Amino acid sequence: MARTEAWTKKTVSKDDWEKKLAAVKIYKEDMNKLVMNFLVTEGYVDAAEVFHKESNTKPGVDLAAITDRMEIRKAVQSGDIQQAIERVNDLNPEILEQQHELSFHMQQQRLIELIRQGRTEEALEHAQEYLAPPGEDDPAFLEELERTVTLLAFEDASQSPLADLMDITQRQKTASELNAAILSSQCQEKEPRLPTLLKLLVWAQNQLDTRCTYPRINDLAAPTLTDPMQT
Amino acid sequence: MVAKQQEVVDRLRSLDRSTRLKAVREIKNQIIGNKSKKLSYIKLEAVPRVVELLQENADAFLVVQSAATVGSFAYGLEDGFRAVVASGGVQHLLHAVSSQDNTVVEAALRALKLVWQSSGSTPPHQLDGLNLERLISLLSASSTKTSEIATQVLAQYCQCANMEILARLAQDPNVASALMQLLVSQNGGQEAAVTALSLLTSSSSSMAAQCTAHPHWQHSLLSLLKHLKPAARLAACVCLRNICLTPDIQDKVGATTIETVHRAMLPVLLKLLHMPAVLDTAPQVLTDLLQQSPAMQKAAMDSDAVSSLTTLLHHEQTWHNRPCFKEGILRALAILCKNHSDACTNFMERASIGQVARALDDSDVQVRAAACACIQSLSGSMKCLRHIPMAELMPPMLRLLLLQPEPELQHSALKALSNLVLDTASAKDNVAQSAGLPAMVQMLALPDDERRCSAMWALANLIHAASPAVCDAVMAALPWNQFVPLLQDTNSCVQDKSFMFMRNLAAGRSAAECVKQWSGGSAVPALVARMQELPPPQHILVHILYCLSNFASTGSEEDRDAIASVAGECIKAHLHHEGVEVRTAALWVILNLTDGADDDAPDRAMKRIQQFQSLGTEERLRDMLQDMSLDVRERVSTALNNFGCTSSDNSEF
Repeated sequence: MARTEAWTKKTVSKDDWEKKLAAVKIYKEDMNKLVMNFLVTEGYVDAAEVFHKESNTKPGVDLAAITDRMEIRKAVQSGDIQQAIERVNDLNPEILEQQHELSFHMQQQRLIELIRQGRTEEALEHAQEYLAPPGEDDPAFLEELERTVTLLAFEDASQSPLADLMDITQRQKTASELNAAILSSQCQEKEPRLPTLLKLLVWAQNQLDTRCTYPRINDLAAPTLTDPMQT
Repeated sequence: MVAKQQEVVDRLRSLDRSTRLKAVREIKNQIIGNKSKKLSYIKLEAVPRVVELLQENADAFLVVQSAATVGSFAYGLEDGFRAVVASGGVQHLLHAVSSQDNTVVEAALRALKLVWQSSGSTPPHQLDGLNLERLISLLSASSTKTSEIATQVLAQYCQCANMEILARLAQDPNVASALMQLLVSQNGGQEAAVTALSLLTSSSSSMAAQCTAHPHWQHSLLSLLKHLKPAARLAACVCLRNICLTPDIQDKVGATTIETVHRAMLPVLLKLLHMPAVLDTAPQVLTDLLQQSPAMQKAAMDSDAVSSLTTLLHHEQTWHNRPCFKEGILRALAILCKNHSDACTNFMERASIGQVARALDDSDVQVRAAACACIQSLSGSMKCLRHIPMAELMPPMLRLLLLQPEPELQHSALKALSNLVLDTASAKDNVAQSAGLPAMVQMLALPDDERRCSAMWALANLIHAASPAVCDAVMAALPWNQFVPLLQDTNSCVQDKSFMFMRNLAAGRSAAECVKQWSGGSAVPALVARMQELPPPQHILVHILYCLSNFASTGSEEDRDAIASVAGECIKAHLHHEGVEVRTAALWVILNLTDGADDDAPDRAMKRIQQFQSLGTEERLRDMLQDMSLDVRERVSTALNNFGCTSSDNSEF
């Protein structure tokens, strides 16, 4: 006779679970640091300033630098790549100087924006001046360049097989790449720690699911504990 | 396009400030990250014009933009770097570092960093007293961004500075103090500070000692072992290694602290070995750690370091074109295999000997030396020696011995060969039949004691249990009159190995006759004369006695009579020696001289017994029945049997 899962899995009641949770000590300072880390990394400057005043938790970074980073991000997201390039070069000229892939992607995005605006001649000139030389040195760049320039062959590039390049998500991708580079240059982590902790929670629950029945958190946004005794 | 660029360059000389500013910003934003644009503007002679703008001290924003542009021109492009240096760009940047305006200072520092990153091994401009002072003062600037960039500049300068400059920097107490302070910062200054410290402490032990004056040096450096960036972790390991190598450090900080540091470094270094691209020097730091601490060797063994290292050795792509990395791997293996037989076994099981054999022919001399050290260590293990494929190894080893211009490497090859020939007939044949044998003999005439000793040792090992053909070859290559002065060499090690050579030679079959021919009958008198001098060291005495014992065993009755006659009294005297090895050896001589197993000449054996008896030997032997050594007591019983009865069978030694 085969044993069913219910026979081997342990069940932990909600009361017992809550008692175990209550015994775990979490320090308020650690939670404040997590919140501040999230605000600072995601660029919520005003919120970070207020949180700093109210909780006395240090931001750990220059908040003026966050403002710069957010302005740069906004510029990319709105398609003003030239502005973004000028600002990032003012902030730290080493970023685009030393990161060739990022520099290429910024110029590529500029090309996409010129194509979007229908400025075909300028687009071709831009491709020749800024994208063709790195394309000669690197086959991966050449492939991306060819893909991007192909947009010019279509009357409506947003309906072409390469429509993903014209989509807003492409700007988002470039913006995120630039944002990560700026964070790295400021010796900050590229992502806040909070999502990592939540991922750990989800992973731990998945592991625990194979071993016992317990009060799960099913909604991370409203983290109430389910009752394992209720069906 | 060129016309447009020319127009921008022309605007650099406009009388209108905002025009100049706009032009320099345009150039800056075009050239950053773009080599072809840089080249175009260099051809249009934009660099000197931008450098001129650096001198407009009153206009901070213009200077900031110009500094960034100059730095970008120099970065990643040799033409740009040369153009910047030729236009005096570096001097003007250094001047700008002294500005009162922090934004100018930061821009100038960033630009200098880019210039020095492009300068290869030589900084384009040596920092003189004032500039250096200014840079050092900026390490402790109130603005964290400024101090961070200043530290990065210093680290970059250190990377292309020569030892003299590093030593000068290391003497400044403000440098150590500022850098140690920056280790606890949470920004980019931390990585740059530990990088600069790793370079400065490598050049100066006083710098390493200064670091330990900082109250939290241990905590600061140990926490950097967990830094996000592998390069920072390695730099922290280098600093800690250098600190642990400082003279008298154990007295200063205690053995427990040193051990704590070592234990923290080891797992980090073992992981860093597998980091791609970054870390050529990681294996060398690991090697230094293993050399400093037997406890760390054990810990490395427990962490399966041999498997890690041999895996790296098998993957050519990890060390191709990275001789420093490959050298470090081989040296680390050499240390582990030298002191741990398990390491040798593990190494051989992973079939790595072929890689080491190939490394013996590497184009880099340090890699060859490291491979040789590895072979030396492996061949020191008898268990390993039997499994070493001599056919693969002997040709490159002989090439190292014969063709190496570097004396150190040749010496290392000699020592490895000495181990290889000890127990392997094929290796002996290889050497005896090649130019390796005359090369070893030639090295006996070197003025260097250590190398002479190694050469003699190699020949002694070669002759040990060797075939008659090998013995003949050796005796032919090393005539008696060339050998005999070595028995009186000024160096005790050379003497010792020379007598060892004689002893091994004497152990062969028909050795007595061969040696008599080789020496023209002078061998035994020479040995006895040496024995009769003011007491020779115990180990030499033992060699001499066993030589005589072996000659007695393999020689004719005339040979035995000669030995008994010339050396009988001396041998009897040595029965009283305090060293058990001497007493045992003396007993063997007596046994072989008094053995009557040869039925052709029992009378001659009896005559020799009577000779010994007349010297009071029998009484002494009876006393020795109470000797504390079992080996001695057993030999004494046999000898007394011989004295009472001549039918005992004594085998050759």
